[in-house]
Amino acid sequence: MLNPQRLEFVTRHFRDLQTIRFAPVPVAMILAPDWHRMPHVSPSIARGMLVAFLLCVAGFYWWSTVAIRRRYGSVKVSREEALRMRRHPIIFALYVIPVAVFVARRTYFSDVYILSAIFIPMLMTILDSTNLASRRIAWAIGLVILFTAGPLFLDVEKGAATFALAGAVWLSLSVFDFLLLRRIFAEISNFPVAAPTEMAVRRG
Amino acid sequence: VAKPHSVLSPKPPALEIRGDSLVTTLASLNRVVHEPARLAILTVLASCETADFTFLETATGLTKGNLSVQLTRLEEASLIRIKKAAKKNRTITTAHIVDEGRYQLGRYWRQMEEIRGAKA
Repeated sequence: MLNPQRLEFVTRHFRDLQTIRFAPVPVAMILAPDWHRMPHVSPSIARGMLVAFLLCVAGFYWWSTVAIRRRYGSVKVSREEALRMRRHPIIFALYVIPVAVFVARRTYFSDVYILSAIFIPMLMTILDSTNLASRRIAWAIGLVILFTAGPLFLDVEKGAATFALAGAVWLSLSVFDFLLLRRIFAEISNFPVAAPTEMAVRRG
Repeated sequence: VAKPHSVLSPKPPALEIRGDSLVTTLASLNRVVHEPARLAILTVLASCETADFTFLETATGLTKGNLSVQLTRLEEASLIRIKKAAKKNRTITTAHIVDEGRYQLGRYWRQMEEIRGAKA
């Protein structure tokens, strides 16, 4: 029987579970250690390759968005709901750090900004109580791997190994999220709707 | 399988112990919300601003015909609002829950909690 909490979760986080639409980006990050092995090319060819990559990212995003919309439909979440986790005291406090670094000492701002851009969204997913426990655990494992193993690879291949690790974590979490979405919808199609009393028991 | 209540049983089930209040709660359940398909639709719509027909179909596991009927009943009961828009020769149907629907759903879950509490 379907758990109403899962129904609420899949509706609330429908868009969050589709990060696989950005898949070409983490794939390119995984291939980062091979970049410097490429033969040197002229700046115009390099620019052309960059444009081709961006077109590939945009094309995959557009195609996957249309495919998911046709298969599963679409949901619009309220602005209040979208900003809910940003009002979390821990997240709010973490947003203050890059601002404080920027104001006080701009030297390390780019490093702090990049760390915040990775750390804050991951922590938002982990702290969000409306997420399923399995998703929160998976993201917590990803965060731990990234921030414990990541620094160890900083000197390998001029930091490209850390880049590849970040890409691997990103891609793994995207695939996990999408498989979770598919599994919940598969469960629903097997057990269309539960009796209200059963739903009440599972909701509790 | 629950054991049927015997007349000779020394301890009657909770439903009879609590008497009127529980019976009143059961009787006052909103019949429109209490139906499984409609409850699933309202649960989905209460978690978002709007959802389109395809998403409701996937999320509830209902057939197109059944979903259409249930949406119409919910709209007739003034619990949701349905919008239809034409886009590239296709009609896109979206639904959103109104304040009354959100209130009725919350009230329904509170009543179910009371019943669960009484039975425990």
